[in-house]
Amino acid sequence: MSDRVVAQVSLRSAEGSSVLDADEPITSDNVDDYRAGTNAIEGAKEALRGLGFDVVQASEVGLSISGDKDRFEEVFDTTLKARSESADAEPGDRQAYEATEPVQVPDALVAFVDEITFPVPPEFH
Amino acid sequence: MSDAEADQEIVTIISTTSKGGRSLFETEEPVTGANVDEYNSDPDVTEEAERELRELGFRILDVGPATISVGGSAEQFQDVFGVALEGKKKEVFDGEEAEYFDVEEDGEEMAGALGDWAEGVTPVVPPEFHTESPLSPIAEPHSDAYHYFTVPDEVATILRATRVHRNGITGSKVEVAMPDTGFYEHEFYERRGYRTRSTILGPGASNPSQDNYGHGTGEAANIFAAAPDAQLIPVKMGNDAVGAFNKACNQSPDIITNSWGWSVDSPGTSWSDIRNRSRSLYNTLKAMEAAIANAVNNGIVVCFSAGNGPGGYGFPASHPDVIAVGGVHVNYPDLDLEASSYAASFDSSLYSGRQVPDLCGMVGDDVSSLPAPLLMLPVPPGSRLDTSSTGAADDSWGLFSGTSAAAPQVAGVVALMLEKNNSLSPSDVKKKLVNQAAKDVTKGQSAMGDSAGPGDDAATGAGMVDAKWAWVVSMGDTMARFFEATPERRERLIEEDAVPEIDGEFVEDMMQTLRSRS
Repeated sequence: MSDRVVAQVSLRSAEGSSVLDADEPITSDNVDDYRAGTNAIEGAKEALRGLGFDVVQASEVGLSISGDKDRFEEVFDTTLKARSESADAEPGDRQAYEATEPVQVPDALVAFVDEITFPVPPEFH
Repeated sequence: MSDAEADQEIVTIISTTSKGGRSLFETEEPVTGANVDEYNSDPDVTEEAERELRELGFRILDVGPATISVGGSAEQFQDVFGVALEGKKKEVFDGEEAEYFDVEEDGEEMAGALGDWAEGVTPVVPPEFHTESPLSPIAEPHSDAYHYFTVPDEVATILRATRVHRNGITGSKVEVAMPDTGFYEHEFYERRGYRTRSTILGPGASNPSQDNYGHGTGEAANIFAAAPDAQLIPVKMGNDAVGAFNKACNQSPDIITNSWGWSVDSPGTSWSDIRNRSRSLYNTLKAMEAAIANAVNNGIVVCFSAGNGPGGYGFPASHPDVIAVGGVHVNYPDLDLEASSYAASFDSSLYSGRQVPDLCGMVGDDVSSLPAPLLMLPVPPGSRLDTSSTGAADDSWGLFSGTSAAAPQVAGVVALMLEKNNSLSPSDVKKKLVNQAAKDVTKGQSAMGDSAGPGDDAATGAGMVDAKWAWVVSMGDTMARFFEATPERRERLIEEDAVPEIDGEFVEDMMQTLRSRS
């Protein structure tokens, strides 16, 4: 079995605007404009599960999913490699990955999903 | 035996010939205060044994009334006793093994190779460690260190929280979530009866009872220093900080405190610069931005540490909805406050007009080779911060206090405010803290070289968080009117019994404080 990988899924908002393409800072004043509708959230969850991923966290603008590295590479037509900086954060427990080629959102997800991101871990202060 | 094992020093205990003629290693009776002297050796025998062991090339590690501990190589051991050693392992902590050596032969027969002064020999078998100490060490931990403070009492004193606690305000019924590296159930928490929920795993995290780094376990102690009856909801972060933050939100806590971030909000940086540098980083930060905004819209107060060192331009500390927490160093013994030279301060480039920090907690100064050693914090035994921060390795305490310590301190103070008035919105809390509940810090420079001075300043924002004032200004509308009134009007309100009933001694103390401020 290949390594487990976590990714963030940005959902298309009900208004059609995207968190990732926002020209303004997203704050408590305007975040409602970026919320995905219930149909988009549930549709994305179902489609992602159908593709073999676990939905481990859901919010109104995005999801966190996990799955085998091989599965990610196959579904999103990319190659993943371990981020070197994550090795220093907490060895063995927080391995992060990055895509070496642009991630392709498959047809089954296009209606709900804006983009898939392999998250960059933070620094602890 | 491998080369590494052959090079290892093997510790052996020699039972020196006893006064009673019976070997300590052979007796089947309990050895107690009543009979131990029979198993002790004459001082002349002990002296001879020590001398002979030295001549045989062993290192004397300890000399006791009944035994001598020596160190030597496996080769020495085999030459002297004529027996081969076998490497073994045993669990000493949960999930942690220690190596040791053992022999098959009888210890009494082995002692025959020595002389009349010895009656038994045994390699040591390591004990299991049942617990780590709930009390911080008192030894000076490092030659470069300065006086450090302990949790919870000394931190509570500096934050001026102790008087609030004595008035019965302790953060009770307030839930504080903390996404971090994990939370290990250290004796420090258990012995004090702090309320901690089971660790929730963020996306990509595993082993909920472990914190290999030690950061989350240590920094959580700052919450309880300010709010001893708050309930901690630890969230162990995997490689998805946004997911961990959202997991925390799903618990509907009152507060989320965060001692981490990305050092991206440096001068002149725009969102498009970040996007051009790394689409993954940009996407991660934008998702984080939305997650914070949603949390605040749901009534959750969000605290973030500002960042450490001259490169610590921390996002999301600069997000306008959060309370950005910087650092103030506390000098000993006068408890004089100054801007910490380790804590970040900056004008955000990502959010126009936004300055970091809003206010501060306790943070160490920048000392070469030490990570801002102001606070001694509990960490898992053998964790990275146990062995790498100052203090004895493997003693389950570490000396570290960047802005990671300051954010949970402020979160604890917020818990006191919300216990008193749970109708306060995140924006109310922030305004009250910044406008009314910070002690002005007038000297020192931040890591970026910003200077502290009278009033709000770039280095410390409004200054050092003050739990007593935070509580006072959270007492609802009547009390707010009281404290917004002139000193003369306040005295009249008290005489007219027009303020809510609170401890008289406390009111007297408050009046003295008010007069001393005017």
